[in-house]
Amino acid sequence: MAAESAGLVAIGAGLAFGLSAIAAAIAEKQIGAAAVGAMAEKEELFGKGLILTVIPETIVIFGLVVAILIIGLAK
Amino acid sequence: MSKPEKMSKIRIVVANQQLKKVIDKLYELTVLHIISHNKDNELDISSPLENNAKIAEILVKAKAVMANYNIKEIKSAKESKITTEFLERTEKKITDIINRLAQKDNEIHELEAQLQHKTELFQQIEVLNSLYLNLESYDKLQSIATFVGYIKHDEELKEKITAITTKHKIHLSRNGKNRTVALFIEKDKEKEAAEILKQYNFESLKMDLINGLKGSSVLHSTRVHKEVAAIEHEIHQLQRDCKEIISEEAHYISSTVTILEIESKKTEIPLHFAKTQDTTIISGWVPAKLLQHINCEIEDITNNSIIIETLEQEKKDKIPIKLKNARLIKPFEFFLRLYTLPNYKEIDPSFLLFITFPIFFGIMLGDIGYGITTALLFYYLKKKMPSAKDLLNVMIIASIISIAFGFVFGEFFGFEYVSEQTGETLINLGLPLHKEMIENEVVYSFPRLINRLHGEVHLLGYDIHIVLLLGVIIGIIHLNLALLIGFLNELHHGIFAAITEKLSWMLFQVGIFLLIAPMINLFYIPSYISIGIIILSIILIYKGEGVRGLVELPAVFSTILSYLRLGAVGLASVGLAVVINENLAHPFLEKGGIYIAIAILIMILGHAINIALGIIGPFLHSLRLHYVEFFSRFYKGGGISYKPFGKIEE
Repeated sequence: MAAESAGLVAIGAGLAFGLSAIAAAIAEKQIGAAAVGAMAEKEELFGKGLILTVIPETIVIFGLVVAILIIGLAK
Repeated sequence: MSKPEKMSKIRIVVANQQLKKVIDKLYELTVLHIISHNKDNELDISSPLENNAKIAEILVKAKAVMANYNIKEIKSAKESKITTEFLERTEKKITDIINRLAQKDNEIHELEAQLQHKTELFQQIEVLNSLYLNLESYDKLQSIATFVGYIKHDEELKEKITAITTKHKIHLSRNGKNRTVALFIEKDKEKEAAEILKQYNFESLKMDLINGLKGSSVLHSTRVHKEVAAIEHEIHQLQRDCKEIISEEAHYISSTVTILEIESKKTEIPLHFAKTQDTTIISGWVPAKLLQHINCEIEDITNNSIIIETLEQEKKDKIPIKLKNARLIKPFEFFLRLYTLPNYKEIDPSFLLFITFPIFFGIMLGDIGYGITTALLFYYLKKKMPSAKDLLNVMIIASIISIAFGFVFGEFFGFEYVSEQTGETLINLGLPLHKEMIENEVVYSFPRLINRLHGEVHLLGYDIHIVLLLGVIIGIIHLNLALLIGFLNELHHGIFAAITEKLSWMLFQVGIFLLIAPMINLFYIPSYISIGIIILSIILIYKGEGVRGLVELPAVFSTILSYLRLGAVGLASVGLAVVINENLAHPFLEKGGIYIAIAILIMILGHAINIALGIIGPFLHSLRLHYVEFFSRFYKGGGISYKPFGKIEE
């Protein structure tokens, strides 16, 4: 029983992290493509492009934190 | 923390005959950021100095030679006075060099054409040679059709040809995979023969060059071969001559180009000035503290017959930004140039970047081994790529801070502790390790302040990693620092605007904190006070930023939580390092023997990947925390860079 619930906790943590990573990836894909396009036109936009591209990174961080908290439940 | 360098707007009115002198002086001083004059009803644009066209002409020629013969540019050249005679002399010399080179080039081209002809002739003779045919046997005859060329294979070729007619002669030779064939056949059967040869993928050879030649093909072959060698030798000789000319004149050409480029800049610059009948008007920005010095210098060379006035700054003026930072902080200006330079009235945040960027990077990477590796790597790259010096200096500082945080976390390439035997050896070497029990095993841990992987605190019913909490605390400090700077920046709009736009957000946080404090048993405060503070702050925010401010209220939390990445990225990095050491390499190490080599390979490869990730991740995340979370609270930017006339652009 204990092993089973630990397994479920692990699955939960994995989902929390994995799904948020997928979400961030989808968001960054589009922003990144647009940023590269803008940079091709105007190279000085590198800084702004970089910032816009990494904005969704936060989602992954939240996912990771939630995953760590979920693992904490198993203890 | 400082604002950008104070600038003064000046206008210099100079008589046309003294213009050249003044331009030379300004170039030498390298202080004036020129404001380009646009043609208007009152004043026209000034015209280039004399010789400008001539200089441009020589430059084009000299640069063409440099491009054609791969002559490297040189940065500095001995200055010389550019007079009309100098230019004439230079043009003559450059034209002379070009002519000498062109003559050699023409000779080379002619010889190359000859070489082409001879080589083809040689090949054609060789074909007949390989078939043991004399040259005159190829002579075109009216009654005989001739085929010479390559075929894929020669199975039953002779038989098939004999089947059409017996009046033929066929020669075959093999050279490796190639089959060469020469077929002489009566004219009437030409079509049939061609049909047959087609089945053998016949590839006809041109034999146009040997018409008229007589005698043994072997003798001709030797003769032509010798001729080819002679031509090749001659070409080689000419190319050597060319190289000699280039190596003799390369320095002259490149230094002339450098001198003339400077001169060309000087002669063209009046295009940015305004002119009247007899005077030229130069306007631009200079650092305020140099104003006196510039006045003296220019007045000196013109015997005071010049007017220099300081103009009032207008609102619409785009004042160029010159950042003034200490040498250690200067590299961090790179991040501002990457994003946007501060505007004239703003605080230059380079100093803050200098403080917090390496710390953020360090917290995330936080490993003694990784820090040392990256520091060495960046030092090596700095020697190799001087152009990226600024960025690499930043990264070296960041790496050193990473080493410091490596000591805080007690990590060395992901190892937090070593086995009993290794530990005792290290203690004997004088390292301060301490004994610990982990999973019923005695180990020796590195000294540390915080255990990154296992150190946890109990908070709100959760066990939270200390590093995550550390991230949040740093986030709160950083956010409020940003608001404070924003407050200072806004002060010139009036104290009320500064309070409602910036301090209100700080008050909001205080309210939230007072609301939470009783929940985590910090201290007791009646909730109506905290809620009152929150409502007051929201009203102030609405006053300051309107509806946009209200919509942004939750952003305070997401901003603070965003700093969780300081801990989280580090946890991911150390997690990967532990996996490499314990789960991948350790099983091999235990097997011993040849497996130790595999374990070492895994560790080298694994840590190399982790270091690569450990540079990219913390770098981007640290940068992002500054650009997105930090700068968005106070930084407006949009300044244009101060580019004084005369400075050689790197």
